Order: sequence, then structure tokens, then C-alpha cells
Amino acid sequence: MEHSPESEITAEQRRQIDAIFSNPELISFMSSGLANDGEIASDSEILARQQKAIDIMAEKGDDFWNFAR
Amino acid sequence: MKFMSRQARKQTELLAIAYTRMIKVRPFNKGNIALNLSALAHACVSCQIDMERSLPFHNIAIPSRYKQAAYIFKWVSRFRPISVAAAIGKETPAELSANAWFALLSALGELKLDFAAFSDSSQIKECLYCSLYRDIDAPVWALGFSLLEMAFPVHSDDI
Repeated sequence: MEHSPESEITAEQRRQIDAIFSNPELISFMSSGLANDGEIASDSEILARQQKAIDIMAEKGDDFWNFAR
Repeated sequence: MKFMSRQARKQTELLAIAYTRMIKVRPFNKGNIALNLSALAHACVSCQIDMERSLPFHNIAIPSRYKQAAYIFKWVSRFRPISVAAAIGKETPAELSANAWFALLSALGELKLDFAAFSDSSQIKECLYCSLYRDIDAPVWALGFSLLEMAFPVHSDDI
């Protein structure tokens, strides 16, 4: 006899699965996430931040770069 | 694909500028390091593809600056586009760490934090260390960068 995965689902399980996937609120929650939308920084902002970091790092002593100290 | 390619090119250009500025001052101004632009472009293309594939999962239109910082940190750390051209055995610790600093510098372009305070903290060494020696998990680092912003908030006159 051909194996059918469907035959291994009980009627009660089938009813519960139908209930889950026919509930739009549940599915909406399950498929939602943090919007977490960001913004695109301008080129000048990015370069200015990096320049500031470069200037500050240029003042560090050579011992800064040694992890052991 | 065109959008990704455009973004990757722009990112490559901006980071090439950052590199040019970086080698004008110490400790990288001795002419001992060189940028491999192909490796940098490869890092930027990979960064954009990696970020793009994560966005549809929860319908994110524009990734947060923490994600943008984390993904470029990950890929520059991985591709290490800077090579050390100093005489063998004459390299300085800074030159040997140039890729880690460049990876962090790439991320810093996106972040709004008080860099002066951050640069005096132990956390900057943790970042450099992880870039050199650890795998970078971008989603985890996105959270890490957001926490760094909280720990080192910008002043009103900062960028």
C-alpha cells in the first residue's frame, strides 16, 4: 500500500491545523516581525563620521594596537 | 540585482575614500599597507546580497543602521582587503591590525556614537579583536552595535 503522510494525521489534528491556518489574526502575528526599518545615511554623513574616527585614532599611541597591554 | 550592484558600487567608492583618508595619518601613513580594490568590491557585493536576502523575511524595506554596520563589519572582516607590504618581520601591530580597524571604520560610518569615548573604552579593543579572530554573526552584531550606541551616546554637536 502506498504510504500517505495524510493518513498519519488524526481528524483532531486536521481540525486544529485548519483552525490555525483559517485564523487571519494568528497568521498575521506569525508572519509579522519587528519593522526595524532604518534610514539611508548621506555620503557626507558617513564620511564625516569616519573622518572623525580616523583623526581620533591618529592620536593613539602605538601601545593601543597591542592587545596584550 | 541592479539596485544591489549600485549600492555595492557606492559602498565600495565610499570605503575607498575612507581608506585613502586612513593612510594619510598615523599609524598607517608609512606606505606599508595597500588596498586590494577587488577584495573590497567583493566584500561590498557580498554585504549587499547578504543583507538583501534577510530583508524579505519580515518585510523590512530599509535595514536599520545597526544592521548596515554589522553586515559591512562582517564582510570586510572576512575579505580583509588590506595587505601589508612592509618588509617581512618589520610590520607593526597597527599594520597587522589594519583590516580590523578598516572593518570597524566601515561600520562606524553608519553608527551615531561618541567615538572619542568609545575609542578610550575596552569595547573598541573587543571589536578589533573579534574582527581579527572571531566569526562575525551580523544579526548579533546589529544588536551589539545598537548597545554600543546606547553606551556611548552622541552629544548634541556630534554628527
